[in-house]
Order: sequence, then structure tokens, then C-alpha cells
Amino acid sequence: MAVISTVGKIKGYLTALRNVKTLRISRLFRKVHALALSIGLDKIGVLDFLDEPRNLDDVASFIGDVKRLDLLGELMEALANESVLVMQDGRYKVNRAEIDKLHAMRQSNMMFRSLEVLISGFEKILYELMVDVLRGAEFDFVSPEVATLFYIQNTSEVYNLAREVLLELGGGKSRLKGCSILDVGCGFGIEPSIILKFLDFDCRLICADFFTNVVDECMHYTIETDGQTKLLKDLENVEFAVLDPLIRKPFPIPDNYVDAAFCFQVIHWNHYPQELLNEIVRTLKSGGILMLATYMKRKEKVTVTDVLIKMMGGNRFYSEEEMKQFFEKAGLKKHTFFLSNFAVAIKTDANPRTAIIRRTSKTEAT
Amino acid sequence: MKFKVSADCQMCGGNVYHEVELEGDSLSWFNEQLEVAGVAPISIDHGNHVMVVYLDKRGCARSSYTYPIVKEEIVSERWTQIQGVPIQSEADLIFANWKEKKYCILRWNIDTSPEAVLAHAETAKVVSLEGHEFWVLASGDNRMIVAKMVGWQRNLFQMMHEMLSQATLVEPNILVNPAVQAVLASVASNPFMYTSNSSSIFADLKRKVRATRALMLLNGRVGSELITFLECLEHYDTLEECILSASAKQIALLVKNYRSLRNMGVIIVM
Repeated sequence: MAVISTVGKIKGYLTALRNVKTLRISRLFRKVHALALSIGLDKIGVLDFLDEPRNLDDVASFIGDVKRLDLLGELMEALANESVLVMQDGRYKVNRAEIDKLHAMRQSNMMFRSLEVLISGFEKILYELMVDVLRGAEFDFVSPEVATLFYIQNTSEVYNLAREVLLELGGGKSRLKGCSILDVGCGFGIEPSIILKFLDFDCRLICADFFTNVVDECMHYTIETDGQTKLLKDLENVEFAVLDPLIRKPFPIPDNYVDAAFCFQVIHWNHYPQELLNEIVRTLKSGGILMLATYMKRKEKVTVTDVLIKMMGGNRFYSEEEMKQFFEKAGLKKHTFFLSNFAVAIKTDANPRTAIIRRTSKTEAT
Repeated sequence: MKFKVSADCQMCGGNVYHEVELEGDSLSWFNEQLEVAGVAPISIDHGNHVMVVYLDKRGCARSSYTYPIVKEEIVSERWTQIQGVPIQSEADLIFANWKEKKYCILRWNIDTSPEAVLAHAETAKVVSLEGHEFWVLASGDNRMIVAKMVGWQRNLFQMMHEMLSQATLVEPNILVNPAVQAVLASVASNPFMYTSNSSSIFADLKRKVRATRALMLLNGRVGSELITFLECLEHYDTLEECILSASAKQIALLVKNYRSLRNMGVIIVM
């Protein structure tokens, strides 16, 4: 009965997602990101500049002091792939008709509306961040602009729905209630609150993130329980951990410690995906389950979504094939992918690797 | 969390043993102090005196001191009202310094005389006088007396007390610090807005605080009064100067969101 119930719930969620026109998630994500980046280029005058065909060096000179010509090239190519730009004799020209279409979708499509904070973020300030990155500045996801963006974005209905879908895919209440769960990349608090409410507070949750300010905010997130408003840090079944973003140090969690790990929209941000997965798997008990969400590309070529992530200090997205390889190297032999965005894997190895791969520099990142 | 405290009490004349339980914000504050200073104080009421014991991270007493409470002299002692900087308060509110026997009134639209309430202000307590309920909050020499308003639950007492304790850490005499008064008045005026997100603001009052460009992302998402306040930060050398020029609503919004603004990087402390 429990299996039927879980399948039924997943179908319900998928219907909900279909109703809000988000089932073509990958394509829509790309469209949203193409709009955001084109708005960024418009704000700095590049789109007007591209009313006439220009080559990459022309665009770089127009922006001025560009040190990341590689990234600018990826940006132009990715926007050309989305038809925002067209190529003419090796030169780029703006396609106003496509941009108008994207602006129209911004008004009508649920996915666009749910990511409005990102789009409007490029209108307000993120275009400056984009220029800074092209000029060689480094950002990470606790840069003020990016942290603030995610603080707002993380409350989006689509994200919350997707988190519940992932919990259902991981076995739902029947499997996860009473379990110890490691939430990797817990963020500012909304995610742990969704997990706790989904499981009727019947779990032991470890909220882990890579930055102390994020964990501090999460600790002070308020949640309603038993008719009282409490801080997450005051709940007896909730603990917190700060993780090393470079994964040079092991997570401060013992081997074979948790029944489940939840990793929502994190892996593409981290520059060390294999090491991150290795560490998650190390903390999982044998038979433990990993629930992971990330957009998985069909092909390995660079997309607008990759470029957007790079503009904000992240790494990149991976193809399903790449994800399979990460999983298998980490010791996750049984894995299933759903809708190119969700993955569930079981740890079957009774003797997991306990040593993480050590590195000395960022240049060795995947 | 329970602590087994064994320490010398000078006034009792020997070693005494107590079990003290800390929870909620008190425990958080205690832990924060441990982080910062390596020791943190716990106060224990011994009737006619209070023993303050400093515990280290292992819960061992590192030092202790006592101070007496002389109840008989309280009523007879004269209090002196001083004029402070005008600060808006939507609650009937008095700040006082217990040791100096001075007080200032932010708002007091009640028949009961302030000195009648102050006579009971030797320790934190709830006082019922002439049909009114007054909350006496005490930390060090600082006293904050607020007339309970309809709908206030006792958990707000603990929250306000925690705020006063945090304030006392940076300002032993709040009578001389209008910015601290303004923040506390904001808490008393809007107690339901209060969360422990506010506590770190006191430590930053004397520091230069600036908004970053991430503030642009909050346009339309938080009150415009707060945006205006944050934009003005660059014109002031310290946070407290900016607070003293702010409206009550701006202060309330700032206090409510302070921790989050810092954690997001919307404001940075120089």
C-alpha cells in the first residue's frame, strides 16, 4: 500500500507541475536563463551594439577590460544556441524577435514567474556582477548579490514543490519517517522546514551548508510546531554542520551515520562534485538513500544555464552520463534518474571509502 | 541544558552547589559568550544577594562574585528623573539605572507613578499595581520597565529580557545611550516583530555599517522605509548615529531583519 500511495503522490505532484507548465523543465530553465542573460547584456548596452554583426573581440572591446574571453565566448555561443543571437559569417547579431518572445513568456509562464527574482535581479544589479566576472572578479554563492538572490529565490513555489517531489521519489513518508537525514546545502532555512513538515517532524535532521553565515541564518529560521513558533536551532531533532566548500576536510559527520541524504540544487554550484558525492556517500549507512536534484543536460555542450551559473560563481551542470559516473565512482551502484532533474541512489557498499580525495589547488576541479 | 555549578560564595561564606538550567535564547546567549570570551556568566539568586559565576566551556567555575540586594533601602531611596533624547515609543516605557537611582521616561500615560513601580525594580519581575501589570526587566544596573499591553504573552517578557541583556553587554548604563534606548523602545513598541535575529545589532551600534549593492535586489521585497534607512547608512560614521535619525518604523524593521541582512551580505560591518 505504501508503494501505491507514494506513486500516487508522485503522480499528483507531476500533475501539479504539468498544470503550472513546468514539466518541460530543462527547456524552460534555459529560456529563463537566456532572458536573464540577455537582459544583463541589454543593461550594459551590448544588445544595441549587436544590432550590427560583431565578432567576439568587438564585444570584448565594447565591454572593456574583459579578462574572461573564454566565458564571454561561451555566453555568446550559448545565447546563439537559444536563438537570442544569430551568427552571420562568424559574427553575432541580436535577434530581437526571440527576445520579445522571451519577454512575453515572462508575463505568461509559471516557470518564468517563479524565477522572476532572477530575471529582475539582472535588471536591477546582477548585470554589474556579470561585467565584474567577465573582468576577472571571483564570486561565490555567499557573495552578497548571489546570497540575497538565493535567499529570495529559495522560497519559490516551484522549488518547494520540487523538494517535495524529491522527498516522494526518495520513498516518501513511509521510508523517511524516523530516519536520520543529512541535508547538504540546507540554505537559509526553508529547505529544512519543508523536510521537517513533510515528515511531520519525525526525523533527525542535520542541516549542513558550506558557509557559516548561511548556517547561522538557518539556525534562526522560525518554524511553527505544536502551535508554537520556534527557531530551528531550538528543535531537539535538528543539528547543524558547516562543511568545507573546497571539500578538503571531511564533513564533520561520522562514517555510516545517516539513513538518507538530501542534496537539492547544490552539486552544480560546487567545484568539486566528485569529492562532494564521495563525502555524502561516506556518511550514508549501507542501504541509505541519496536524493539529489540538479538539472541534467542531454549533451555535454555548454548551455546558457551553465553560463549563468558561472556568472554567479558556480561551476556547471552535468549530463546524465556524467552524473552516472560520479555516482558510480562514489560507490552508488543503484541509481535512477527522473525528468532530467532528479536522482535517487542507494548505497550498497557495506565498506564505503572513508578517505576523501585531497587536493591542493582549485585548478584541479572538475 | 543543565549546569552543575560549584563555586565559592563570599556572602554565604563557603562553597555552594546549584543545578542551573538554561534554554532557548538564554542558552544561545550563553554559548555566544563562550565563543567570544571563553567564559560566560550565570547568575544565581541567593535571596539577599546574587552570586554571578563565570563558567568555561567544560562547565567549570572559573571565577565568581556576589552583590547584595538591600530591599529595605529601596522604597526610601529617592529616584531622580533625567531628560533624555526624545525617542518614539508606542509602549509606556521607562529606562532606569538601579545603582544611580536615575530614570528617564520615554512614554508614561498611566496614573501609577513611575517611582512606585521603580521601588519594585530590584530584580526582573512582573509587578501588579493599581490594576496595571508592569514588566520589570533587569540586567546589570540597567532596568527597563514596560506596561504590559493587551495580548502580550509571558514569552515576550523573556524575549525583551534577552534584548536588554544583550544591550547591557555593550552598554552598562543605557541611560547615556539613546541609540540603545531607541532599539529597546522599538522592541517594546513592536514585541511581536521581535525574533532573536535582532540580538547582534547591539554589538554593531558603534561600528560603521554600509549597505552593499545587493540591497537593490530587496527593492519591492521589504518595506521601502527599511530600504531608505539602509541607503542612508553611508552618510553616518556609526550605526547608532543613523538609528538616532531614523523613524520608529525604520528602527523596528531594521531590528527585525538585522541578522538576515548581515547574513545575506546586504549590509557589511566595517
